[in-house]
Amino acid sequence: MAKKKFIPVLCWLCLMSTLSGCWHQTELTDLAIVSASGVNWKDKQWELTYQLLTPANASANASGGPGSGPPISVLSTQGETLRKAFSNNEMENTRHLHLGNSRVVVIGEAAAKYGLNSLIDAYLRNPQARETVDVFVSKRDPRLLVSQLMYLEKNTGEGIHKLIDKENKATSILPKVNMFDLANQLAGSSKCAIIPELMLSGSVETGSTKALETTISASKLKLGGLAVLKSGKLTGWLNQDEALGIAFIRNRVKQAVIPFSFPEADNENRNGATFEISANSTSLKMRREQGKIIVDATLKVEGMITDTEFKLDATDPGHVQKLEQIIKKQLLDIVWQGWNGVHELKADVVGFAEMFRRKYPKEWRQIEDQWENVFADIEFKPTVQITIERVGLTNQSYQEFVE
Amino acid sequence: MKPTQESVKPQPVPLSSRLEDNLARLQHSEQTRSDIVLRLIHDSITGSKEFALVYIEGLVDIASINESLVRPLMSAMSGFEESTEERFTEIRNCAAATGPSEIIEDIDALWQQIMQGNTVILAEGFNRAISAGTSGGEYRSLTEPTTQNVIRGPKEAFTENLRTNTSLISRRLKSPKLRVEDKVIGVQTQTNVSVVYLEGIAEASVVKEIHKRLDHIDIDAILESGYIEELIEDAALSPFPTIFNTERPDVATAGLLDGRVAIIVDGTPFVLLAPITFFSFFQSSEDYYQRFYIASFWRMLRFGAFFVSLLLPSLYIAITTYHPEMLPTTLLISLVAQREGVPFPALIEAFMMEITFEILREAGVRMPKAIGAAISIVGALVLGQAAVEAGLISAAMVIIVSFTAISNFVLPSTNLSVTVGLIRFLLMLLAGGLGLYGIMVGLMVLCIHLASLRSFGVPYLMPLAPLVWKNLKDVFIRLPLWKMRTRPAGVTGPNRIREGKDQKPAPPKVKSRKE
Repeated sequence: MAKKKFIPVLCWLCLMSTLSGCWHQTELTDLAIVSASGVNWKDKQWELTYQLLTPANASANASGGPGSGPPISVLSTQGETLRKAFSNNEMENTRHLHLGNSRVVVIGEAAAKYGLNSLIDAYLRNPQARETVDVFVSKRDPRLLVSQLMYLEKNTGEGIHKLIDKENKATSILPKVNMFDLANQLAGSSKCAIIPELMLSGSVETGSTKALETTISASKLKLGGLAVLKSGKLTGWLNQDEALGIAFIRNRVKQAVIPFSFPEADNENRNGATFEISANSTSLKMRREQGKIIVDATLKVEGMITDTEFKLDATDPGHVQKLEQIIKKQLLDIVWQGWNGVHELKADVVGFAEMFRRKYPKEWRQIEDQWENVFADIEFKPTVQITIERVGLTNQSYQEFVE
Repeated sequence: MKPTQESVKPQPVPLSSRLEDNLARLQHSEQTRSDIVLRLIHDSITGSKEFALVYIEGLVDIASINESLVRPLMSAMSGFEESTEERFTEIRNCAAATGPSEIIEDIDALWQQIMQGNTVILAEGFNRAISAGTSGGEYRSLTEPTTQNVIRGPKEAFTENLRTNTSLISRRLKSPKLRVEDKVIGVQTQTNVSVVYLEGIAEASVVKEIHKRLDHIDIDAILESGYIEELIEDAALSPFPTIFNTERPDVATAGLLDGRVAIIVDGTPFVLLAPITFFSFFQSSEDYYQRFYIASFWRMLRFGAFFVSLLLPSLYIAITTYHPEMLPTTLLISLVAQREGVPFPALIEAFMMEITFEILREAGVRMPKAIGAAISIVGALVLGQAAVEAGLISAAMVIIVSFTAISNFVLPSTNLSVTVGLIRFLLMLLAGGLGLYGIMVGLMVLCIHLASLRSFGVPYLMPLAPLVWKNLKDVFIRLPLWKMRTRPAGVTGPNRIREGKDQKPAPPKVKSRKE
């Protein structure tokens, strides 16, 4: 009996595989691999820019050897809606746009000001485009950024992804924000979000492999500050110091480099030193006193001194304590800068709205709509606990040896 | 089932008491079969024919006939009166000198005896004949196994001779429980088949079932154990083998000790073992001769290689044509760059290469040894750099096909690896039509099919489905020998214990020497 049933099932399966019409099968050679894309709003139209990889030139050792042309090419399309702009590529592109391996989306300032909700919507709706792409905002035309070549990375999109990844781990100034994070933040209690800035330094002269024939290129991709979004629209910019302050409040600091000056140094002109944070944890506590919301932030920072210009005796506890006080002040200063930045913009990107909603759910419903004003009235009280764990491989400064 | 014409046995023709009559019957056959030898011994006084010896040249040991049969017969001839019972006994005694002897009463039995390599003695005045065990002749001597090689382990393999093969087993298993039961199968070939098992360790019902199925065989020829396998297996339509074959006596012996039954067929070095499970095909005899860590590593390697060999080409097709986003960008670009300029879709490319490899493999097996070296050179060109440079296929495909092929040969058992090769093609088609979804569908059907198989009542996926924890000690890993106390459950009969407790070796505890 089992055999009698099995054979029809097998036939059915075989026939089914032919009926599928090969589903949405595409050969690899029919794909235009998008490594980065740019989104801008120009003349009341969306402009989409795609950085396409040219496989023969972008792969390290294909059968024909690395080609001589540029590893990327750029394609721009316009349309009244995002998907219309996307579909307009069919007019000039011989291959299917493959968004699955795209790592980066650069959004122009104009588009960010117009509003990103439709972009997020397009990403969430379409299975092809991944929500794991890193999102950047740029003050310049994203088309220029996307057509920029990099020295060490053939795949520029991947290069930008590596850049933010590495930056995020090493200095913690800018967060890594992907499309999913962005959607989450903007849909969160505060409706505010931050996106790192990607900028183009130097004179604008991109798109030629000749740019890479000199050892210093005329223009370069760099990470900038932070763009702050409110309800899907760009409302302001923060610089890198403010960005680090916000990172401290949001407890996103893994490693950071803090330069400071030590006023009690033996030489007034040579009093700089660097403190490198190796671990940090920030705990936030929200309480209400006389109708006022107070947030206590406690930073527990560990790190090491990595260079000094002055004589430092790490074996002297008094000396070290003084240093700790100075670094503490410096860190508090950074945190305050960050707080003042978001406070001015009335943009709650530090997650206080969510804290409030969880702690006082009933009150939340009443003030939900005017959270912006409530946020502006919040009293912020940061404190810092610091531990200098190491001073590097020498206990005494080199200056002491020299003298 | 209708019996074949030959199987309707005619009435036996009894022997005549006159030698002349008997010889006349044989004469006809002697003319049509040149290898039948009729030797007559005359009475030196009367000149009348006294004895006739009938045998087939090549099947008998001529020296022992001459020395131990003809000579004594000649000397025995004169001492007795004609046709007395004493004379008959004397002839029997002569015959017993060369080996087991039997009394024959009809022509058919006579034929059977001489076909087995025995010599039949016909004597004047008796309507009975005597057969003398003189079988011998040329056989291939013991050699190393050609298909199932090991680094460490016995180096002898079964041969084509049934008795040599049973002797190889009984040398290893000096147990009084060893049972060797003979059968003759094949109307024309009259092939000797031995069913070998250990009583008490093999399940009695399985032995009975095997006997039943063997007795049911009604065919004119058994030329290899493959005939038997095909006629008694459980899943006749399945691509998966449900009977194991081996040419290694140590594997056969280990099988017997696990409670399996060996079927040895005369004329082939491949001995059948049943019942088995799917996982038997992943076990090599060497697993038990090397340290258990190494053996376990090899086991897992084999399972990995099995899946690679089954799935790699279809995964490549599915991922590159349906799910390119699953690949890391760098790999994707490199694959696209390689495929740029390749004229065929991935599915066709994979099919071409896989079929090319199958052709090469087949040619390698069939090719005369003298020109065997040519195939490796040509093969390397067809399946290698030259094909890539000609722009026919992509370099990645060469790697995929080669790795698949190599993985295929990691499996210790050839008959499973051939099956895997076949299913690979089906999965490739499914992958080409439905992507990863198709592969999943294919694997699901495969799993259902495997789970439905039985080998003489033992579920094919046994220690996994149904889950038998105790048997898992020898599937994905091999536990040390001192941990394998019991024989595999579900296969073995009443005698389940393999070894005593506390078999783990350890140095003796040294008492502290304080005094």
